[in-house]
Formats: sequence, structure tokens, C-alpha cells
Amino acid sequence: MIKKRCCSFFIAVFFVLISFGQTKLFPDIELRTNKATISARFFESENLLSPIESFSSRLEFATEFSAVLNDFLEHRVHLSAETYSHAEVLIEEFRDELKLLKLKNDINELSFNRKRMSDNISGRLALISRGTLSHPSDLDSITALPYVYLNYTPRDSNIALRLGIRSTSSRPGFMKIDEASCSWVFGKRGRIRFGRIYFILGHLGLIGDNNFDAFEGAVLEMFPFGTLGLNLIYARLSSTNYPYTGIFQDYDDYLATRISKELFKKNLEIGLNTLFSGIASEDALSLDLYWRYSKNRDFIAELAFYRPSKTTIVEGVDPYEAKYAFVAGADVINTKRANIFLQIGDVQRGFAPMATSLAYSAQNHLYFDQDTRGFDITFSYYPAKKIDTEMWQTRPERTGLVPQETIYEINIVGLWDGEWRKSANRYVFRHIRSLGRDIRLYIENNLWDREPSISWQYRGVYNETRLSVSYEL
Amino acid sequence: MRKKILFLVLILALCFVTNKVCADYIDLPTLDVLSYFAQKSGHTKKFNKLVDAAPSRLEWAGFLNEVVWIIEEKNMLLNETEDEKLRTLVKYFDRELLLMNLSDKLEEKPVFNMEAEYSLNSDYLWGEGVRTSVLSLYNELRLIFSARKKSTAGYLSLRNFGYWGVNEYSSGSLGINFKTSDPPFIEQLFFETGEVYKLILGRRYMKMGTWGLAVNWLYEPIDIAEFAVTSNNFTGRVAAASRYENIDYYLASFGFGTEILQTEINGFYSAISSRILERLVGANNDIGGSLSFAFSPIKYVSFRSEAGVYKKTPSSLEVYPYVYAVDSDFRDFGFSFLYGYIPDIRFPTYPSVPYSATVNRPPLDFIDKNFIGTRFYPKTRGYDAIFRIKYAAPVFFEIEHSDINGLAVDIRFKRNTARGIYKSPGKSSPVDRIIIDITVVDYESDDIQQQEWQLRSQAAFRF
Repeated sequence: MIKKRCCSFFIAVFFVLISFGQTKLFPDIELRTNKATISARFFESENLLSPIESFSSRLEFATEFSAVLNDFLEHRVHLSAETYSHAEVLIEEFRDELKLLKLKNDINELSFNRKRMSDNISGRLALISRGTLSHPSDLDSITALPYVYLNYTPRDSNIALRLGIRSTSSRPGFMKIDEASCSWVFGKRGRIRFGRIYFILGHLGLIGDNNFDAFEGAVLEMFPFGTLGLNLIYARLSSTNYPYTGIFQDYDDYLATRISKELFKKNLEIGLNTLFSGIASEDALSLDLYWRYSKNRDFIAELAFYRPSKTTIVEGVDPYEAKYAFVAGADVINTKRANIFLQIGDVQRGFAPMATSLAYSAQNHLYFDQDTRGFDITFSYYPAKKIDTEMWQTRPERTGLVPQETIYEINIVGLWDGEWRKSANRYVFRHIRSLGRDIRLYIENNLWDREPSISWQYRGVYNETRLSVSYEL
Repeated sequence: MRKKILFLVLILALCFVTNKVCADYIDLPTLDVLSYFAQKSGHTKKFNKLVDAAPSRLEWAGFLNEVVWIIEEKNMLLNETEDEKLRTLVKYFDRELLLMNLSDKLEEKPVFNMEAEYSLNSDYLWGEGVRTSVLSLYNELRLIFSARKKSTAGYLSLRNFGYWGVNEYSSGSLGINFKTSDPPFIEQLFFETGEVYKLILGRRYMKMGTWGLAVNWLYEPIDIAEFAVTSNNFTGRVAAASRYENIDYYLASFGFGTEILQTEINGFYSAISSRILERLVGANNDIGGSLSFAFSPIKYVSFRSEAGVYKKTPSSLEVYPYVYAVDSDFRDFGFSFLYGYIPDIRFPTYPSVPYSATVNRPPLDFIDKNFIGTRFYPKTRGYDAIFRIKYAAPVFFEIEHSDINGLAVDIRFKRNTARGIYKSPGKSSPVDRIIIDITVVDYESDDIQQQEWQLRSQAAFRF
């Protein structure tokens, strides 16, 4: 009878508790030992931890307990012997959970550090594969040229480091330092770079463009009077030292300047470029013009005069007679998805500055070469979204940047050097697309009818493909 | 289990230390001192953030730890007051630093570090005997990677340098073996493990003795395996290295010292095979050693000396080089006087062959007074005096005078240098140092009397 009554009493109490819903009889989490439960209750009684019933998982409890421990550590809370012993019990009880929390913190810290690093470092890791397919076919070849470019710009700093290491087609297995330069940004639009650098004088670079190789020197770019720009380029081309010392006794320096003026809200820019000293004693002068003549159409032109070196006499070329070159280009059509850019050029025989954008075969940009005149038309198609590209932006070997958008491009070049010849024509196809979040693909296919020359004994169709896969940091 | 130990140790330490330090936060005078060193180490922004966050003492101690690490890493010069302040600060946080130390030991976290140094240097020489003068420019790039886990560490330094305009080795650049486009070469690559008993393996710069009169590889690294024992007052080092072939160079060094007096004895023995000796000009089975003393009887003055014995071959006669120095280092200025007697020994000169009658010209990396190889030369004796003004720190001015005479022939160098140095006090700016150095060398002998002027500069950036 008593047993029955007791049972009824407990059942009644149980239902009362449930009906109130205020207190849980059993906690949701299980503690392995009674000692741990006692310790948890102790921390609860000391108002250091919430009641054990309020936690839905062991990990949740461990999170709060870990915070309490950290609080002890950071604020030097004086621990009594009793508190210490209870903490010890709970540390043992929640050993695995505390480890998990530690791991989580480590991952968070790692992500933070990685983000901090990625804020400072940018650049490109790329592999260019250059393959040729020719007639006769036994001269086919494929070369792989890896290169790495890194820009390091510390936070809150005006000084940045750029380092580029690459393999060149002349020595495929040899990684050389391409760029190693330090730059300092000052004022509103001022910058000085020094070290191994690339530069271009004006928009087209007929008398100053060293795309074929980096020079050792310095470039100053600034706008000292509002929209009046001043560029100064200095480079050391060769040096002769006293044997076994770093003391020099002979040199050949490169010095060029550009003065430009921006007008009509930067829609028009005119520039005067002067090459005071190129290789040996060559000099040159050019005028260039950039004009955004409608909302998204550009016109670019440069007229240049050049005198070859007086110390290196070339047969049939008067070193005191100036040679001219003229190149102009404009967006003929520029729609949302397509663009046609037409260039014309006329380059006199003997116009061959050492650093120039002419002569694509010598790793430069423009297909026009000395003693040629003709046209260069590029049709670009953007299947997804049109972007406003700058000059040569679709040629990553120049800018070091590959656009994210997909682009198809056909480029036809026809040159006349007294007669129209098939070998002077170029048929180029370019394709750019994104292969992943930061991975870009670039393909350039060049096709032409190659004529025999001193270095090339054969005649036939020559096809050269460049394929580049790059990872942008 | 490790986590458990960590918490137990930390809590134990807490229980121990909380009896003495009860304040939760740091007091204002300490904050001021911390602010000063934060500024010096380029951590002002972080300091301001911490002030806003009002963190715990432990976090402040962590910040102090970072600051001290930078000061040590960058070899920043501290004057007497600063030194005292820093010591007080470290003492103030000694309990927290102890806790952090315990924590670090248990955490076993590897620490990785990457650094890049880029410098632009110029050199212009003119005067009597110089045929034509041209400004020479060269740049230098160093990429440094290091990793440390507990007492084991690895270090890799890649270096590239080259003169502007030296595009090919043969284009008039005789004797210059590097171009700016050459890939970086391995300058140092070594691993070390242990604290009291330390093992170091790999290629690195090293010396034995005060200046390294007998053993000095500060100008070019050497491939070496070294075992060292270090205690408070004793250091013992034995090493085997490769100069020409596998293992052909053995070294040993033993040093005893207190704060006031330090002494070190070291020696080396070469065991080059006869095959190499026949083939390589200049290779000798030389043997030598040196004994050095450093004595600092009062706070601002110290005396240093190193005397050696050297035999070019086992059958050669011994020669006895020595260098003595007096150094004084006051708050606003410092002074060093070195006297050297250098007979015909394998002296640690910067590796270049002098063109003209004047001395070799090492880069401005070697202007510190401890580089004797750029101040004295074999078969000469003389003195070198350096006066340093530190009043305008971090800009320093130095005047240096050398008077060197030939031992066997009647030659005499007189060299006067004026030098301005800016040494960045912290990491706040990538500009690490700027040095301008102008040197006048008078050279006299029976046949020649000439004067050369040299202007050198260096701007170095660290990222």
C-alpha cells in the first residue's frame, strides 16, 4: 500500500513538473562521471557557468567553460583550491570538446592570417606553352615557359615590391629574373619605379617600349601641374668596369621624357615624347594623341621621327637623316558585344629604335615594321559581357593581366613593302576565358606564309600557338 | 592530454602568480612607456586599437612580446634610458610573459616568417689615377624564409644582385659574375636544433673569436656542420666544413665569459687532399688559431683584443697577427679605436681583387666596426678610428680614419670617411636604411702618390 502511495506521489510530482515546464529533471547532456556533475553544479553555484540543463550539447557546455577558463587566464581571477580542483575535473571531462574548440580557433586564426597575406600579395602564376606547327613538319616544337609574378604592397604603405621570374623562349629551362622593382607612390598621381622595369612612352610606344626585355633603370611618372603630365625614363644599357671591381669606366645610358596634357575631362590627351639617348647615340621625337571621340570609342595616333646611331653606321642609312613612322588606330564599331579596331601604319625604312613597339616578330606589340605600310584590323566578340579594354589588354604578355570575361578575337594584318606579298600577312585568332575562380586561359594562334630568310631556310605555312594558363593571386 | 596539461599548467601558474599581482589592467605610466616602444617598433596602430579595446594584461604582455621581438630582430639601437625603460616594462609583465612562455612550449606552434629586402646602391670614384669615372648602380634582392618549432629552426636566404647595364658576363664586365637577371642563388640554408646542446647543419655565415682573425666567414658563407654547447658562462663549438671538397676544414672554439670579461680560444685545421692542392692555386693546408679577450670594466668602455697564430702550410714559419680595440659607447656618441698587425695570412677580406693602388671596396653592408676584413689588409699594420654621433637618432653620423702601412714594402694608405646613416627604428615603413658614404684615400709609395675620392650610397627596403 505504502509502495503504491509513494509511486503515485512521485508520478504526481513528475507530472506537476512537466506541466509547469520550468525545470528539467534530467539534463540534455550526459556527463561521464558524477564528479563532473558535481563540478558543473559547483560552477553553477558560483555563477560562473549556466545551469547544466540549459545546454543542448556537450560542445555548447565546453564552449562556455572554455570562455570561463580564458577569463580566468586573462583577468587573473584568483582561484581557490576548490575551484581549481573542480576546473580540473571539468577539463578532464570535456577534454575532446576543448580540443575541438582549439582546432576551430586555429582554423579561424589561419583563415585570418591567410586573408591578411592575400591583402598584401597579388600576382600571377602562369604557364605559357608555345607550340609551332609548320611545313615542313619536322620543325614542329612545343616549349613550356613557366613564369611567376608577385606584387607585394604592405598595408598603409606607399612603397611596393614587384618581382617577376620567368623562363624565356631563348632559354626554356632557365628561370631568370624578369622584373625586380621597387615603386613609391606619392602625391595624387605620382609614382617612381626603379630596378628591372618595363615602360612604354605614350600610348603606342613607337620610340619607347621595352617589351622584349626589362631594363635596369628608373621611371618617374607625375602630374606636377594638374593635368600636365611628366614622365622621365632612365635606364643603363651597358657598362664596362675596371676588371674585378664594381667601379665603372664606360657606359651607355637610355634617357627619354614625355610631357603630356589632358584636356576635356581627360577625353583628349596630347603628348610630346623625346628620346634623348637610346642605344649608342640614337635619338627620336614623337607626338601622340589620344581622343575618346564618342562615349566608348577611342582614337590613338603617333607620329615619330628617329635618327639612328652615329657610331653604328648601317649601310645605306644616313645617321643624320630623320626617319619617320606614323601609326593611327580607332574603334570603328563598338557595340555591347563586339568591337572592331582598325589601325593603319606607315614606317619608313631605317626607323628602328632599339626599344619600340614595332615589329611583333621581335616580341613587340605592333605588327608594323620598318619599310612597311598597311593595316591591322581586329574584330573582338564578347559572348557574355563587353568590357572596356585598354590597349593590348587582351595580350597578357604585355600587361600581365588577363581579363575575366570570355573574348574571341580575330586579327588580320596586311603589310605592303613595295608589293603585296602573302608572307607579309598575318591571321591571328585569340581566345580568352575563365577556367575557374582565379584561373584564366589564353590562346593565341598565328598563321602566316613564311618566306625563306637567313635564319629560316624553308618556305611554307607556319602556324604558331601560344597557350597560357594563369592563376591570379 | 596536451590540452589538459596546458590548462593545468596555466591555471597552476595563475594560482601562483595572482597572489602577487592583483590589478586587472595596466597603469597609465606603464601604458605611456608601452606607447613609446610601440611607436619605435612601428606598432602604433595596433597599440591604439588595443587601447580602445582595453584588453587584459595578458594581451598587453603579448603585445610587448611582439614589440621586443621586433627590437631584437631589427637590432635597433637603444640608448641607456630606453634600455632601462624596456627592462622595467619586461619586469612589470614578467608573470604574463612566463605564462605565455609556458603556453608556447606546450602549444608547439611552428612560426613561419617571410621577408624580402631590396636595395639600390651607387658608387662613384674619381681622382688621380682613375682613368674615367662613371656612376655605377647595382641592385640587390634578398628573399628570406624561416621556420621555427620549439628549439628546431630552418633558415633559407636567396640572393640576387647585379650591376645595371651588365647584361652579359663578357660585355666588358670582367670579374663580375652576376647579372640582375640571374636567378637568385642560395645564400644561406641551414637547420638548427637544440638549446643547450645545439646542432647546426648547412650553409651560413659564421665566425669564431671577437673578429674572426683565424676563422671568419662573414663575407662568404661556408657549408658547415657544427655542434655547440652553451651554458651561462661557457660555450664550446666543434665543426667540420667543406671548402674545396667533402670535408677538408675542422674547427673548434671554447669560450668562457661573464658580463665583464669574456675570452675565447679557437683554432682550425685544413686537410685538403694533394689532388686539390696541385690543381687549385691559392689552396693551402693552412693551420691557425686565435685567442680573444673582451673586457668591460665600466659601463661605457670596453677593451677587445684578438691575437692569433697562423701557418700557411704545415712546414711554414708561424706568423702572429693581432688586433686591439677600445670602444666607448655613450648615449649621444660612440668611439672605436682599432689597431691591427696583419702579416701574410689568409685574411678574411671581402672577396674582390683591388684594381687600383687603393684598397678593395666592399658594399655598404659591411660598414659595421666588427668587420675588420674591410679595414685591414694582409701584409699591413695600422689603425682605424671611428667616431659616431647618435644625437639625432635614427640618423647617425660617422667619421672614420684609417692609417695603414705596408709591412714589407714602403706603402701607406690614409683613408678618411664621412658617413650618414638612417636606420629605420621600426617596421612602420618599408624603408629599412639609407646610407651615404664619402671616402678619400691617399696612397703613397716610392713610385706613386695619388688621391682617390669615392661616393657611395645605399637605400634598402624591407617588406
